[in-house]
Amino acid sequence: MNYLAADEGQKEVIAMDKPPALPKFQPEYLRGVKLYPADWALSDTYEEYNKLYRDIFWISK
Amino acid sequence: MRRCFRVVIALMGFFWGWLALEVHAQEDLVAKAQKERELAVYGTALVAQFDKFSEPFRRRYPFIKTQYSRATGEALTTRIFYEASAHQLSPDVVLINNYTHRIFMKKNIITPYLPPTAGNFPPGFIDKQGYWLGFYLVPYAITYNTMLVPKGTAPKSFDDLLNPKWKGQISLEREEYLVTQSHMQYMGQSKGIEYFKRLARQDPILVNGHSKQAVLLTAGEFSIIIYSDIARTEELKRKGAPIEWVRAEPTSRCWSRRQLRAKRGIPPQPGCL
Repeated sequence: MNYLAADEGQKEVIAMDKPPALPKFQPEYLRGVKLYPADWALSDTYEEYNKLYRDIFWISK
Repeated sequence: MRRCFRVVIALMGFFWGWLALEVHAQEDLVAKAQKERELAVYGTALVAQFDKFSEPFRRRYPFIKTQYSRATGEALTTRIFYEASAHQLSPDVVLINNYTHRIFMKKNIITPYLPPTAGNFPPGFIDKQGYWLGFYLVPYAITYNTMLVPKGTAPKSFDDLLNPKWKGQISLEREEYLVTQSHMQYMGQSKGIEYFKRLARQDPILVNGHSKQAVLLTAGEFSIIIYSDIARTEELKRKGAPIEWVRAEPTSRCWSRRQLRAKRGIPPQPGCL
């Protein structure tokens, strides 16, 4: 399956020595979309949160 | 003027000295990697995705045999915990999201490593301590089957998914911990919990794995995926799949990082390249 980097950009990635800056490879369909980042510090409470998730979506079903 | 000239000469000397050190370090790594010859990678990326990522590496270092083992995030995490507790960690490199990466870091499963080429990575793509390198991000959004949900009737927001008309038609990945926790952070904890409880009353269809979810959505097994990878949706659309994603806020994203582990206390050479 071809993904984003398999398009024209992939050839460019293969040809370049330095990795690309994000905006250069941001696809057209994401233009104007506000991305909300997943905060890695959330994982500090992952056991507690995962239990909450399972209680809500697994056990309640 | 003369003083300025001296400064420039000194800086140039430093630059060339630094460049020579970097080249030497890289050559040294290549020589050591030639002895080891194998690179074991664990990751959540699809095999086809990994093939694309690793193509330049394999072309540049044809003498290194790359072994890739793919699993879903939860399965991969469990496997790595198991191997670590048995002191039999196999991977040189792990491709996983930043969230799980931090868990590994705190459990002291991985070791920092800054490659000689670290300076080539732009800010935000590399951890200053050398714990990760970021090379792609995955944006998630509500996605629907356009055959089952005609244009104009699609949900426009996450709140729209609570409408009784979508009951039993929404799919949720069974272990969607990271994205839902991120969504909850966006909403605020109490509002988030309330939202998820109401969403649970919509009888979401739990599916193991985002790839399987996308296939089932395309086949019309259900109408909506609440959190689906936009890149995958766009790819499937190009192939004719009757699916579309919704520009509703928040569109969550998570970084995928590469990370290294210590192998007998020494960073493995092929993994360092």
